[in-house]
Amino acid sequence: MGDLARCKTQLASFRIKELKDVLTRLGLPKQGKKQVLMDKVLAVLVPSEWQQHPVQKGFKPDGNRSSIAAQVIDDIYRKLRGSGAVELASGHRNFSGAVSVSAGRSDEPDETENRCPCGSPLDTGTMIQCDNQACKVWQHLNCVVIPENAAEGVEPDVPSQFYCEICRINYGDPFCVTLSQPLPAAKFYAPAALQMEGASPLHSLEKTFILSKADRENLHKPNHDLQVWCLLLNDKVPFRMHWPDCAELRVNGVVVRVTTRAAKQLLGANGRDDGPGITACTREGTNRISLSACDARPFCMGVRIIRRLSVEQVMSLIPSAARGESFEEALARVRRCIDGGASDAGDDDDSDLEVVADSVTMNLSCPMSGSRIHIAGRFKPCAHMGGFDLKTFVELNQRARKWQCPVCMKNYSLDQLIIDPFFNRITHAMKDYGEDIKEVELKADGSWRPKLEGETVSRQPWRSPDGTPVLANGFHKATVKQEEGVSQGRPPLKIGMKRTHDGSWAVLRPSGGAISKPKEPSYSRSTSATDTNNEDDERSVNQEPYSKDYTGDNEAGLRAGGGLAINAWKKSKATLVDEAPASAGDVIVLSDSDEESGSPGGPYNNGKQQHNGGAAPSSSYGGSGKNKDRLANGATGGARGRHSSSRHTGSDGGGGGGGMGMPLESSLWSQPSQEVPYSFFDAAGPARQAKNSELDFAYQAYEMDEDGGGDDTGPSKSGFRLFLPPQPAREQRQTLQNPAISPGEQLDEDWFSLSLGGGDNVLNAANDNTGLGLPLSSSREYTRPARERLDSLANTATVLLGLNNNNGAGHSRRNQHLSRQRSYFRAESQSE
Amino acid sequence: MSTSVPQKALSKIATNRLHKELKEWENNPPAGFKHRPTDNLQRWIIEVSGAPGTLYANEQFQLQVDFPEHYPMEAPQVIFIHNPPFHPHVYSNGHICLDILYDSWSPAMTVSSICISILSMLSSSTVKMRPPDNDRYVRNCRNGRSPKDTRWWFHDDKV
Repeated sequence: MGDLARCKTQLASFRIKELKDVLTRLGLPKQGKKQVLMDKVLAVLVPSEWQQHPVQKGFKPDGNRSSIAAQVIDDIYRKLRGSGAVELASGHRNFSGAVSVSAGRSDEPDETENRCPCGSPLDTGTMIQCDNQACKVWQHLNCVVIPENAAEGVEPDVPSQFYCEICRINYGDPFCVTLSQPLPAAKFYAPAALQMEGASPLHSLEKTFILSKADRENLHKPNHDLQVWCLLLNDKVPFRMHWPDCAELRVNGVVVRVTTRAAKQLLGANGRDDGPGITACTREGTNRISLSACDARPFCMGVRIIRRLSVEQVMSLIPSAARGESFEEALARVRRCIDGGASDAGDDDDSDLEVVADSVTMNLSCPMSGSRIHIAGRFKPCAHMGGFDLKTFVELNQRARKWQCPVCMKNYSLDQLIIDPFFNRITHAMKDYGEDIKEVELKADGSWRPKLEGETVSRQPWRSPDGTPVLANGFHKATVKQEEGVSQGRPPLKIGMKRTHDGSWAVLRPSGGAISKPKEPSYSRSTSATDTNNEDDERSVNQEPYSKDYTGDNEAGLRAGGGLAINAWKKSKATLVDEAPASAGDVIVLSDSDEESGSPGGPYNNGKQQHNGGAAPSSSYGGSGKNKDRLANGATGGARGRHSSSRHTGSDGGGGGGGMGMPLESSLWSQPSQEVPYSFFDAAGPARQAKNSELDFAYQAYEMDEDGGGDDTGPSKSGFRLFLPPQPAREQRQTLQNPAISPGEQLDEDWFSLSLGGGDNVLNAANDNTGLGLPLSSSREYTRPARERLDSLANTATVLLGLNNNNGAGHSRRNQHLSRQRSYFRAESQSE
Repeated sequence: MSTSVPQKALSKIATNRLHKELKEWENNPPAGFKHRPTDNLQRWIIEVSGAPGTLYANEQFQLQVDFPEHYPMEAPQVIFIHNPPFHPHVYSNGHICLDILYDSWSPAMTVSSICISILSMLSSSTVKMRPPDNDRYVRNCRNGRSPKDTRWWFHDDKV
């Protein structure tokens, strides 16, 4: 008795709900636990077993009932499968909440089942299987896959993904769960003869279906309905209802309107049709339904009993953040979006061009509602960062049934909708802020902070992706450097010193939380070329690429020096390496920097730290991944206009590596800093001792202070940094290249923007006098002959000097260069 | 000239969204546009100034934006009223052939972004003329048909 065995197998896969359905349809009571229900069904099904398990007293089994029961079980089992109620391949989620089957069910869908809208169960021709793991039904390829320009006798291409019509309807509107199908899918396709005649022949289809008493009872329950559905078999949008043009539907002779579209207006890619409910015009027993339309395309229609879900129920079908996409995946994706994947590379040290915006601003408002996102949702296949508010999205789609990503407008279905684990943490953390704070700044490592207006901006600590503040005090790195020779006479920079507290810091890194080693090297002195002036106030501060100052405190400290508030973001790598040797132990570095260890993870620490003394091998810095620094007050450095006006001689210049830290506004320049191999200096001048130094460039978005100091560059310094004003000019570059020339030049006050990082020993440099301290002359005073001379000189330079905005207009060449700005700069550096 | 739209009251989501957009507009209006304040949230009248340096410099136009019940899931109806600009994509009844108003509408778009698109469309025009099928189209629309009921054929991505 194969039927009986099959029924038992099917029964085993039923849950309480299905068991109750069976009992309902058999007209039996349905109280009790699962096992009791099961026994009741078995009692009907197998009279012999009933005798062993007499659960139903007074019930007399008879053969007729038994076969009915088998029929019912089979029926419900098919509905269960037809409804697409099982797990989706991707997500382990039950698509329809109503009829789900336990994961470990013993009977996988029968992979050989054929069910085709053509009605023939035979294996004829090429078959195609539904990709829904719960369905896996086989259909005739020629019946369901119809190319738009169907040519006779040509086998259609097999699509990479295929879903049967039942699954497509289920995916199309998750608010409707299929309970049963009184009228299974029927093809609505103009006969070939008609198609020959015209583009859109009028044709019709008439079917009958039977509603049982149980069905009618079901339909009277709240949220239940009898729905007629229709879809276009070769629809570009797979999961939607789609009625043919000029469709006229009659149910038992009553006209039912199926669309509101005007005649000849086809459904656009963003449109969705609805399936009208026909409960009111149906009756128990046989019903007649007919559809006519002028449309040659292949459609497929059917009638199903549905249960409508609420927004909350549909929301519950969306996998939790943990199940949809792991946080790590989300973080990696966000990083890719921000910096194109460079962040995990870890090997970016060897590229001398680093093009990275330090942070991007992300708007957290939902594109649909305009309010800030509360639960961040997204479609899993989307590559972009932008998401939407999940609840708003589901609510809107209850009616719209579009399930389109509002950002990229791709069509998806509910099963691809997930909670965005990354942004969900952010939006959750943002609950502490007012609703009007809708933007956050994101860094490539995934750390973020709310973007606030005004003064409070810089006081907002960055937070690691999981939402915890990166550091309690919000300090970031500020590195103040003094160079030795020059600064000896002076008191150490107060700024730097104060900053550091205990020297201990905690590094939070996304991956392992490894603590970066404290920076051994200490640099504490800042050198300015102007040191000779002994002006304490105006120490030049060399901004290290590392220095990052996010905190108001740091800024304040730096401001003491100069008063320019700089918001400079730099991204630099490993520039410190060079400096360490130069520092010769005398340099104290105050830095609250995360940078040092090479971990690509990026700055997470806020730790403040003071490094004293010892010549620390700076190498520790070298490995560091990109550092993004926000420089505070770089410009304040001692190299002020005055100094520059004093015209440093070469010797002075040598002493002062003093650079001006210029304010950088990262947003203006996407590549804040660059490293250039030091080697080119050799060409320019002798006396280079430092080997590996690198140049850091920084762009400067600001105009310089009028004080903006001149400065001197110690060419001998191994590392030096140029901070460029917005318009790089070539002339200056040349001056750098040929330090020897420059000593004689006059400095103009407008100049500065060169800062030298700790190079070789300052003292040495001074002694060498080799092309020391290039006076950088302001463009104004720059004489043409000088320029020419420079031009003739070595070409190697990669350094760009910034020009002031107020440069003399007379230089036509300059203007050209100005106009080229960034691209020009890049080209140069690459050539290097 | 103005099309009669069977107006259903805005849904709650649509109302909230429009309030947000209005507020955002007040804080940060798109350059060249002026919203004429009314108490009707569902119909905005927006004044457009032709961008300087284009064919429409120093000209003023008026846009009428009608929001459907289920905005933003459905696109608003946007038409020029009074004197529509002479433009290859603007019909003399004010209807605009612009894909984002119909097929390519996305709920992520806003009135502000629509305005910018329209101004961009105007600014990139090289010739002041009506669409070639203007007369036929306008005749077909005499019964007050909404441009959203038109099947648009978007062919020109240059203007």
